[in-house]
This record gives sequence, C-alpha cells and structure tokens, in this order.
Amino acid sequence: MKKVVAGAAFIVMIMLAGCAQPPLKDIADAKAALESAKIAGAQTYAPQEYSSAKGYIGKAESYVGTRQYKEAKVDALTGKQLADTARQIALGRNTGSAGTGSAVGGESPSSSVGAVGIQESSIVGKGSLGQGILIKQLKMIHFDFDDYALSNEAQQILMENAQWLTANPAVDIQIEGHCDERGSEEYNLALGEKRAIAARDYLLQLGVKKERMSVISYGKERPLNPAHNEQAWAENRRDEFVVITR
Amino acid sequence: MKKSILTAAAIIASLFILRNAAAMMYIDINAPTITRLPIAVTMPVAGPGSNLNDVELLSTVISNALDASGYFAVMNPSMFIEKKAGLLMGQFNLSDWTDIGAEGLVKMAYNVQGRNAVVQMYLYDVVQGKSLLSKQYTGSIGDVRYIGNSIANDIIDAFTGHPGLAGSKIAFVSKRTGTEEIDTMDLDGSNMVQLTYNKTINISPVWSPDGSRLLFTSYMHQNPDLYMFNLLNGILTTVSHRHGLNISPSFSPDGSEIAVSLSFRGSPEIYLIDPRGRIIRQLTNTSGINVSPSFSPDGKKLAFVSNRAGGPQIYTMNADGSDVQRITFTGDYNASCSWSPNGKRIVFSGLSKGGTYDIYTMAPDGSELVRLTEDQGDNTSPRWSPDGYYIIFVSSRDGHHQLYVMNANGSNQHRIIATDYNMSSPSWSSRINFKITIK
Repeated sequence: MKKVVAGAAFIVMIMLAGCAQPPLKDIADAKAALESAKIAGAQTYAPQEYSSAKGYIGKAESYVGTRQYKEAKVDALTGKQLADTARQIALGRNTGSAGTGSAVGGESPSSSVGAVGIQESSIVGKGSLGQGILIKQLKMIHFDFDDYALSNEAQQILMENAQWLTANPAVDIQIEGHCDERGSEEYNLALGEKRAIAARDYLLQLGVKKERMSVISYGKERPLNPAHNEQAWAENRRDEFVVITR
Repeated sequence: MKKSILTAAAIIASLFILRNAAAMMYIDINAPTITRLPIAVTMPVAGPGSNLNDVELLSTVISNALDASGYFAVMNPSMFIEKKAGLLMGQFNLSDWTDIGAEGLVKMAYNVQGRNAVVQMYLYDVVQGKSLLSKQYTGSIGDVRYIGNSIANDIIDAFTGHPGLAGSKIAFVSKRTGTEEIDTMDLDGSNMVQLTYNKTINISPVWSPDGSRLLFTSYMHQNPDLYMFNLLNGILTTVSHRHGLNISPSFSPDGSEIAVSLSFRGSPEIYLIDPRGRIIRQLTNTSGINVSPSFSPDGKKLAFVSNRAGGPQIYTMNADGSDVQRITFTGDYNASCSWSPNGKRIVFSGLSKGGTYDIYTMAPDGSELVRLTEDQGDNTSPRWSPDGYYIIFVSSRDGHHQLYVMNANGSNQHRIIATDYNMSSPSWSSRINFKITIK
C-alpha cells in the first residue's frame, strides 16, 4: 500500500540525496512555476508568497554561482513550492471559489431550475441492487434550503414518476437524497435521508409498493453542479430516482 | 501488506533539567495576536558512528514542529554566520546570533550508544544570554522523528508554558484522489498516510482518546456504515451496518462507548453503543434530525445537533438522554458541536448574518458566546486539540477547503498545509508513539 510523503518531508529526502550537479532543472521548474503564478495573478492575490518564491529562486541561482549546489537545490524546491502555493491562492481568488458573502439563505424556488429535472435519457451504470442495469432515469425533485417538505412541483413530478412505476412493475427504484454544499456534513447526511424518505412516503401514498423502493442519502458529498453559487446549490438540493431492473 | 508494528521505545528523558528559575513567559498564547519568535535550530554536532541522514532529519523535524506550532519563525540556516563553536554558554558568541535577529537558539549533540540515539539539547535565550533548558533524550535509532517531536514539545513548553503537541496526528477527509478517502498527517502537514482505498465516500474520522483506533463512516458497502480502524494492527472492523444512517460517531472519554446517530428506526436518533455495535441505550427520540453527539470530558453529558425547533441548533443532554437543553439561540443554522477537553467551552460552526459559516465557542449553558472567525470565507467542522489549547477547522479563505489551526481564543489562525484539493472533517489525536499500520 503506498504512502504519500508530502511537503517538507519530500524536501528533506532531496536534501539527503546530496547534489554534485547544479540543479538547473529544479531552477527551471521553479521559474516556470513562478511564471504560471504570475499569469494566475499571484502578484496581486498572493503577493507575499509570490515575492518569497521569487526570492528563493534568486538565491538558488546565486548558490549555483558559488557552486553550493545542495543549497541551490533546496532553495529552488522551496521557491517552486511557494510559487505553486501562490498560484493556487491566486486561482482561488480569481474564480471566486473562496467563500463569498453573497446570497444568504438560498431559498430560491425550485421552479427556477425546473429544467434540471427533465432527464429522460437512458444511461447504463450504477446499480448496487438487483441486476443493476439502469434503463431509465426518472425526473428529479428539488428542495428549499434546509428543508425536506415536498413542493407542489415536486409532488407533480412524483405523480408522473408513480404513473411510470405503475406501468413498469418489473423495476425497482433507489431514491437518493442530496444536499447543497453549505453547512455540516453530518447534518446534511441526515437531511438527505429525510428528503429521500419524503419522496418514498409520497410514492407509497400513490400506490408504489414499499418493497420496490430503497433510500440512501449522499448528503452534500455528490453535487450535480460543483459551482459555489445559488444556482448550483438549488440544483444540488434534490432527490434522484435510480431505476433498477430486478 | 506487511505488518509493521513498530512501537517506539519510550524516551528516557531528563537526566538533568536546567530551567530558568524565574520562568518568564516569552510567548503569551492568549494574546490577541502573536508575533512569531525568531529561533535558530543548528545542525546537531554528530558523534562517531552517527548516520548523517538521521542527524539532518532531527533538526528538520524540530524546525517543522516549531514552525507548525505557530509560535516561532524558524530561521533559514543560510543566514547563520557562526563558524565552528561550542554548545555550552561561553563557548560561542551570542552576537553571532543576535546580529542575525535570532532570539532563541537550539544547539544539540547527537551520539550513538549501542542501538540508541542519545541527543543532548541546549536551549538559549540569546538576547538575554540565558540558558533556558538543557536536557538529554534517548530513543532507539530509527526513532529520530519521535525524539525530534519530544525536543520540539519541550522547546514550546519553555517559551509558552505548555508543552507542544508534536507527535499527535490529524485524521481528515482528503479529496486528493477524487473520491473522499481518509488520510492522516503530522501537525506540520508532513507524513501523509492514506488509510482508506475503497474509492467511495469516507467521512467523519474520529480518534479514540488514546489514539489507537479511528472511527469513521464509509459507503464501501453502498450504505453509510460505521467502521473502526485499529491502527496498531491495521484491522478494520464493522461497528454498525444497520439500515440507513450510521453516522457522526464520538468516543466516550474512556473510549469504552460510542455515541452515534442511527436511522434504522426511521429518523436519525442518537444512540449509545459499544465498540462491537451493540446498542446500550437510545438517547433521543424525536421524528426529526439528531446528529453529531460530543461527550463532555467527564462523560456525564453530551452536546448534539437537532432540528426539533426548526433548523439545526445545539443542545445538551445527560448521558442517559434526560434533561435536554437548547443552548444556541442566535442564527438559523448551528451545527458541528464539540465539547472542550477542559469541559468549559463548546465549539461549533454557525451561519453568520453575512451569509458565511463561522466558528463560535460558548459556555456549556450557551452563555458567553464568542465569535472566532470573521470575513474569512466559510469556516466549519471545528474540533479541539487533545490539550484544549487549539481548535482545528476547515476554511475556504484561501480558495479550496483547507485545514487551519487557531488558538482557543481565535488568535494565530494558520493553514496547516497548502494543497490543490479539498480537505475536510479534521480530528486531532493525542500524542501517539507507534507507527500507523495499514493492511
């Protein structure tokens, strides 16, 4: 089983290896990393890391001049690591993936993302139950923030799903409850299960047999839309209905 | 996978300890802001028969642990101007160190005696020209990391008044491989070890009080089931695989019982179970959500999260489920509670008015609410260090979700390690003296 040795420990191992040759490749790599950081906007978004990386790379070059190759290598690697860090910080700031203060609550109605629910295409895969071949994906339903009540629209979709299930008695479904990325992992796991059970109980009322339905919660761990905004959150607060042939 | 149990030989410490009689506080960990103290860690003087790799590793381990503590600025050895000089006061020039801005100085002698490494460490305050500590450490050769962590902890103690936690581990959820796997690492972010390889979802790792076992929830069998990893022998056992949720575990303070949220009866409720998964008693009984139990250090109470009043809020109850008290009343979303090791505070993550999640602490009755993060992205999943001096948490302030440490009062917030993938659900072990075994 592989172990991952990261960060400082990695540098130590390089240090111990000893260096008789000038580490020209390491310096070139570090410079390339610095250039990437610059392009990403690191001078603006991670000025400390950027200038520190630049400093180390400069020192590495002067060590090569004095034939202190080991020191040069250490500084080149440090410089590269800092440049990579600066780049990551800059990328994070640029794309706004850092938490922003926008949009509290996220109570946008699911109708605004209704299009997401229309998925009639046949796909293969999944299937932890039975024979495990998926023949049709039923329409999803969506929920409000921190809520597992079924909206009118969700009830409408469930009625359509119930009709299809009644017409196709040879299949079972797994109802998957999902949440948006905000808040606690553990609370969201519970919330996802509540969402799945809400749909199951409604389908039960509509005559779908209990033994044909299983539920599972994925909490916030399997978003459909990985973005960090209101639209993505609304898409991710959902139940999916995975069809499984017996 | 080969078994590699390697119990570290106990350190035979302190043949003699010299301590500054009038112990002055160099670094006040309760100060609102902390200026890192510049410290020079010199390469140990190596005696005959020493493995030079071990000698260099020793100084690297110490430097990394001091840096990770957040209290020290470890100086780059390329700045050192001292030529060959002695280890004892009077045998070297203080000005060689003060001239380059050092305030603390670590000197060491490394010797091999049979199968043991013997390290003599001298710690100086070069500004005042005082010896702060002189101590000998003995451990088996190959345990350099353990010796280095012990030395670093004593140095931290000498400057702050409480020993460091080098040698303890962080377990966390890593998305490095694309799926959520559980990894462990040292406090400086080094020594990453991947524990799970099932390529599904693995969440909520929690250490046993002695650090020998790790509880977590995994979807490896297509359901969120509760598992326990014995890190001494690498054996994985299923604790609870009941229908529905088996999530958010927490060990009792003596490690003999587990509080966990199970939904096999319909709703996620908190149960007390034994390490073999047998139910001792059910603690909550609502039709809503009850998750994230956390024991008080005396084992008599639990804090937990419930939505019985609408959104998620923090509650406490007795260990038999009686006397339920709601303790958060500010904000619509408060979760991820954890009871401090000294029993006096509960930390949690709440949705602030500005729309971000932030870390707060409060007394166990809900009074004395203190906000610890602000204008720094989302801040979630707080947990205490085993000594209660620090809080580890997840923050999005630098883009990805990464792990941060701060002092219990919110000061000195710093990232453990920068990665290009998301990290979450941290749990901080007590100091462990064995190598983690995986199968």
